[in-house]
Amino acid sequence: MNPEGGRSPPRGVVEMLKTFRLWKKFAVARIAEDFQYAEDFFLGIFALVLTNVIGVLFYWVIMQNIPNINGWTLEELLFLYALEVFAWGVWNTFLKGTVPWRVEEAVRSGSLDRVLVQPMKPIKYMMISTFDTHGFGDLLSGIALLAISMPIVSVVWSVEKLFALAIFLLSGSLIIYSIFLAIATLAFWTTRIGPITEIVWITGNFTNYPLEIFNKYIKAFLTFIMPLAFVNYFPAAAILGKGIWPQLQYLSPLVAIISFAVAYSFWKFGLKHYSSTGS
Amino acid sequence: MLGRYLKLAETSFKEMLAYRTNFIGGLAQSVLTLIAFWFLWKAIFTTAGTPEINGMTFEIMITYMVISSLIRPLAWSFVEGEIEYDVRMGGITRKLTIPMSYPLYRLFGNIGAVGYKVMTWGFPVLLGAVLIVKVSMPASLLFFVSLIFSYLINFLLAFLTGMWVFWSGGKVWGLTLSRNMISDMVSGSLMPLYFFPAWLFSILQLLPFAAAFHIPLSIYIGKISGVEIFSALGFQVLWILILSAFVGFVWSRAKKRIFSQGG
Repeated sequence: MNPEGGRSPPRGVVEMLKTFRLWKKFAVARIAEDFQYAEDFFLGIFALVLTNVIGVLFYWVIMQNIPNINGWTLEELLFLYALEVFAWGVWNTFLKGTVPWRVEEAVRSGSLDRVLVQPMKPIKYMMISTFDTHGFGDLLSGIALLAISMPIVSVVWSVEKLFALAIFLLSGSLIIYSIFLAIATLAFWTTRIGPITEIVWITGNFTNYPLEIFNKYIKAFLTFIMPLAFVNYFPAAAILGKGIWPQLQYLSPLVAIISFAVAYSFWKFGLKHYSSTGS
Repeated sequence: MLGRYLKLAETSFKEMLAYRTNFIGGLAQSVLTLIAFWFLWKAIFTTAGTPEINGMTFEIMITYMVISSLIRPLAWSFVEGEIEYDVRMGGITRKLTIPMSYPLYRLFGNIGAVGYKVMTWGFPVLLGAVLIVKVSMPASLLFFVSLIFSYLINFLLAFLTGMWVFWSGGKVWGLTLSRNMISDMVSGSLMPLYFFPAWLFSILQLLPFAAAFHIPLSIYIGKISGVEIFSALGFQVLWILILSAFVGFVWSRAKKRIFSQGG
């Protein structure tokens, strides 16, 4: 009950609105900065979209030579790719606040200390202060690819399936976020995490293709160690009703929550270590 | 005259030596990409059920991909970034007063850096690939001549996009990325042009991007052989001439812009 008797929204909502307003300010500043070089900026976004067009072209050229890859047709591969590009697009635009190279730079330059004295959780502050317009390329491509592939795969789009798809997409972004958060945390101990980050980045390309094509070690790695298969492969397989390991196919949301819980605990542990050594 | 430029190449070679570039990261990236491609092509050949697709066996395909991943970093140049830096920081006006042609200044500075990459990265990885992955040796030694031409074509293309900085108001990120993406798509570096439909193949092979990747790679695996090699090399030279003329023309316009705006 509000002591003044009037009807005002609960504290949580006020807090959220405040956070949102702050986020919007940072986002607008970033967009304004990019628009100083508008022509080059749009060319860049065009190029980022092109990177995904290459992916599609790649499938298309392959399919000029063979009818499918391990039973996955061109339409199904497009859908698999759409899930991947969209999840990375959301991450790329909204969730890059705590990516390894930023955390590493913040530790090295000492600007992390400034973040720590903000009246806000560091992870939250870093998140809202980083809106990345370069993510638009993947985000736009992801939306376009979904729009193109969803009608041409042989799936009856019931409300349940659409709902499942939405949950899967969000889970995918959260999984990517968690993997990078865990690696970023290593920056509290070492400033040489560049190569590891690059390896994760490249491993992301493995999920351009159906998991079936890999040997058992890579399959296990992408499922249990760096669970990128849950970003797009298992969700796509679940919706299309095909693929390997059907008992795992619907588990993306669970994997996302567990990944985040693990990565976030590790992050908190790292922060504590950082503040106590003061290094 | 040439001595000055060679000195420049030597200096940039030494600079690279001083700031060791990230070798492990680059190697891991290439190896991982190749692993992904290995499984992909394995799956494609298994599905096709024939030992050859478009006249290429699985082994030739792997050789092609390994060599391609090897020459891609060598062909990449940071010329665009360097031009952008010179213009934004104002170094360009100073560099115009020294008695050297700016495009040649950039070329030789770059040759030093590429020389460094060939020594520390190209040769060891090629050796490793031949010994470990059983990649075959080049079908013709003219591959190396073709590789030098390929480097020049890539440099000229990069210099062309780099000059966009004089018109874009100070940034070339977007156009650079676009050029790299288009090159990846149509040059045969990620996907051999032989896999494209015939009509598309006949168009793409005429572009400078194909001259930079498709030709040296095809010579390496012996798809271009005998007298054909010489006409392919001639085609590369033709593109070098056309692009040089184009660079010269745009550069003279750019210089006018610098002097009229005062840098």
